[in-house]
Amino acid sequence: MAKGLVVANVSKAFNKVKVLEDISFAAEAGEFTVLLGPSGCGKSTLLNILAGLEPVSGDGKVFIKDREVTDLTPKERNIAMVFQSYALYPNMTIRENIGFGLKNRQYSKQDLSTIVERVAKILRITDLLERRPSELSGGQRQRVAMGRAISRSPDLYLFDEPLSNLDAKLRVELRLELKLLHQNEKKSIVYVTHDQIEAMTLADKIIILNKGRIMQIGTPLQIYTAPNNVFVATFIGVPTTNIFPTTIEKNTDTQQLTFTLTNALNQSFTIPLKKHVLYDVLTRYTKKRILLGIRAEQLIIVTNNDRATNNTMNTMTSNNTTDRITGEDEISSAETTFSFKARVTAVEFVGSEFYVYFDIDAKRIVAKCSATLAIKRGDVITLRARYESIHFFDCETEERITAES
Amino acid sequence: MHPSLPASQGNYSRRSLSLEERRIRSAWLLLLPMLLVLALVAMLPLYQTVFYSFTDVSLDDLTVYEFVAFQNYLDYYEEEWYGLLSDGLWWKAVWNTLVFATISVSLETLLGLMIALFLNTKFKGRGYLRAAILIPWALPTVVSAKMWAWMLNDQFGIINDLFVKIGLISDPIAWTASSGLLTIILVDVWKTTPFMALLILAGLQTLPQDCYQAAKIDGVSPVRVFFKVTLPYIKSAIIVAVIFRMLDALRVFDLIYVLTPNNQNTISMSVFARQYLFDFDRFAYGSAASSFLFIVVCMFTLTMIKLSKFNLN
Amino acid sequence: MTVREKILRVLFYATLGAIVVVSVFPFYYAIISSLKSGTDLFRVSYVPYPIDFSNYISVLNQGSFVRNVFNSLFVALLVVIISIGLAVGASYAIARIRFKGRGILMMLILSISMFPPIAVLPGMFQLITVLELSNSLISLLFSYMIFTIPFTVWVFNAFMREFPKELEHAALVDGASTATIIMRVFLPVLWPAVVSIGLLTFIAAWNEFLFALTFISSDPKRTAPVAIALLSGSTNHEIPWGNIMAASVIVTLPLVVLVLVFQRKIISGLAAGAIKG
Repeated sequence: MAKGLVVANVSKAFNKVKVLEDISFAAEAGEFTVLLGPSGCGKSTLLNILAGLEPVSGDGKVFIKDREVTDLTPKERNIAMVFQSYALYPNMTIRENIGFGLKNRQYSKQDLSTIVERVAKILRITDLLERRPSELSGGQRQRVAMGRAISRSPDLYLFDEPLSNLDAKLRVELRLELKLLHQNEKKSIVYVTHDQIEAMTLADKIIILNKGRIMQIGTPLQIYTAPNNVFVATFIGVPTTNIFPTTIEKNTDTQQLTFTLTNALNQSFTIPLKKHVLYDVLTRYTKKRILLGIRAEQLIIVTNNDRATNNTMNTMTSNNTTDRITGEDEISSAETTFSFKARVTAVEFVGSEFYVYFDIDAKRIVAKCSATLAIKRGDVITLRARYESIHFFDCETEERITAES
Repeated sequence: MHPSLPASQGNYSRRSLSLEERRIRSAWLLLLPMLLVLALVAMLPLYQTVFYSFTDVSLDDLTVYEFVAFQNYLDYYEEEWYGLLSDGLWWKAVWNTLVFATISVSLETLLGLMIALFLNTKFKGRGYLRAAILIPWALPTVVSAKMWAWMLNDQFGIINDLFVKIGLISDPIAWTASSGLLTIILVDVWKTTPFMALLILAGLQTLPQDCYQAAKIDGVSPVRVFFKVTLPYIKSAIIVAVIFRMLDALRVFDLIYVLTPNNQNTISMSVFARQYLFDFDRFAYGSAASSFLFIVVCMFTLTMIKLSKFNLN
Repeated sequence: MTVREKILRVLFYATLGAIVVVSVFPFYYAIISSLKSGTDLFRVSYVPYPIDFSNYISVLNQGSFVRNVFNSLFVALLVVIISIGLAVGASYAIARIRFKGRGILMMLILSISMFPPIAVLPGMFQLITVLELSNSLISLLFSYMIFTIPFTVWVFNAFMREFPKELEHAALVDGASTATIIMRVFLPVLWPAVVSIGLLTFIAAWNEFLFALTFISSDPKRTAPVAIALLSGSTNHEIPWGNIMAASVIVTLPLVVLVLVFQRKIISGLAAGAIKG
């Protein structure tokens, strides 16, 4: 199958400051690729390189539709770009804005007019054609900008944070529209954003960048469920993934691998790593510091022990809780789950749910829970999680520890 | 991860100009006409001026000249010093120019700063006031010189009339004749202070308002706010304005030529140079004076750049 | 309002009043003087009464003053058009395209703007003689470039640098050539800057004195400021103040109207040139 886009060993430096280092990836034709990263990660520079607005610094190469375009001008690349600030020509009417690219390519008046009308129809902006950008709302302007891109039926669409200047409601609306547009037209798209929700909802493939390097390439599901490293784990997900260091020990009696946590009540919990898929790999980390990662929604609050704070429980709690509040029964097996206690330090209400904060090993940890729970600051709660939901990261490289590691 | 590169589609040997290369090429194409004009109207004449200053060329025929080295600048002949550097009138012109430039620019900066501070407060009719102070700046220097010459006329001038009436002076004064340089400075200050005020105002208006809000809430006195917040912030704007005004003042010509014609007491470097070039038929000597003024301006600029860099760091 | 505040308020408005009076009065006085005739001129008064246009009639009929005004207009307009024409392209190149030598180029332009006119006068005189442009208005077009070009390039550069990058990128992706980008994308957005730079250039050229005095030798070809400077009576001791004031008002009135109408544009042009120095 033809590749829509191939980027090979692309680097970029401005005055010896490295902005991009050895970026390589490929996208299938018709794929929706999202470049995701915090501001200053180099994603917009990469997009400009794809557009031909910035030259590549080293001997990296860019191919669009199997054609090398590394040294071609934007015009010759047959691409279209949509910008955060819409970048509509303020002195031209909407019709002229959409037709400007065609005019520069010497389309006949007849063709130009037909194409503009067709594009306007697709984007439902026909009655705006004679207006000027200043008379349009933000959402309408961005539609026009998309229209300008579509009009030339390019080989590759480049989107540079196109929704960031819109208010929240419009953003969701246009996001869906964009998705439908892509599903209908099946064009190759590279979309830059710092918004993980946009990335998750739109992308066929997400490329996460940080400090000019690729952190992970994968489908939204892969990125979410198997983050390659601490950066991706903490960058994706709201609230962020809990990361805390611990040491893996081998229990002298049972010869089991364990790790120990201490909560704010100064209670220590030693948690055995029974049957974890990574058990064999983790044996190599015995007596070593290791980073644990667990998502907030994987920590399930099972009990509110408000009236039972004096119960000292030093080891594993068994799953004999009676006043279970959550109804998620599928995680009840003691074979696959563990639980521990904590004292709530803060509760945030965000509408659909609560974010519950507590300290483990003097690190702030957050869990999500249903809004129906009545949890207050100072409550002692029991939390439960599946072993499989724990991610392990190497303490030094911050890379994910996998079965192949 | 290294994706396999697509097989090169046959003949990718044509290395077309990249966008960057094309842009640079068009940049030079766009610059070329301007550079040619500048070479023709600025660099070439400047070179020619300096060249003439080392010759004995005269206005009658600019193609006939002999090379005389530094004679126009300094020469020793039969136990007498000749040349610009031994010319008392030239040093008078240098002195006048420096006095004029220093005093008028200082006054303009001070007054300009005060007016800018006034204009920076909100009041009704601010726009009209701004337009009013633009008028002196927009007038041709010749016109303002003539207007003031008329107002300062010893017999019929309104200034004398006014001053006598309010008892400031007992008898009319011949302003342009008796205190020429003072008059010239006065007219220049009147004409150029608005320019200064507007430049400083532009600097003031970039000042972030939250600084003032914070200072107000903290109860800092306005005088302290001015010296601790405002002045440091607009310092560089003021320095730039002062440099530009000084350069302008060092080349003063119109005002003196019109206000006090043929008066050796108020002669400036530019007036001196032009007299020798065109009135006294000593073109080479005038060229030497012109070149000298250029050197003074260069030295002043370099010093200012050095000093202001030092200050800003 | 406390007494103190009241006093401060009075002082504030008194100062403002003083600034306005000092700024405007000389021009006002020139107008009054130009409207007096004969011996009235030599009696100081603060209101124009009785009004008499004989000075205007005499200035407009005498010599070539009308010609002189049109000469000024011709030279100033042409200088504005040529300077802006050259500066738009050049400043686009400097402001928007990265190339080696850009910094040196800006320094060169800045230093040319610092050239004292007298320093180029002898060389320029020779050039104009060689090109046989002596006593022609073309010589002024030529010599005025030395101060209009650096100024227009410098200020345009300030405006061009502010131009949003994304808009230029959009045009490049749309396949626009450099000429198209300048003419169809930059200029339509920057026309207010063109107006203010044009105004400032016009005023500078209209007011120029030294070159116009030196390169033009016959009365009908002179520009208006030179004509005013050279207005003299039948004898040396009889300065025609009435005529001079009338001529001054005629030369200045267009400028004052421009200033009052376009004061915002003029100030923005001045500020753009200065702040980035």
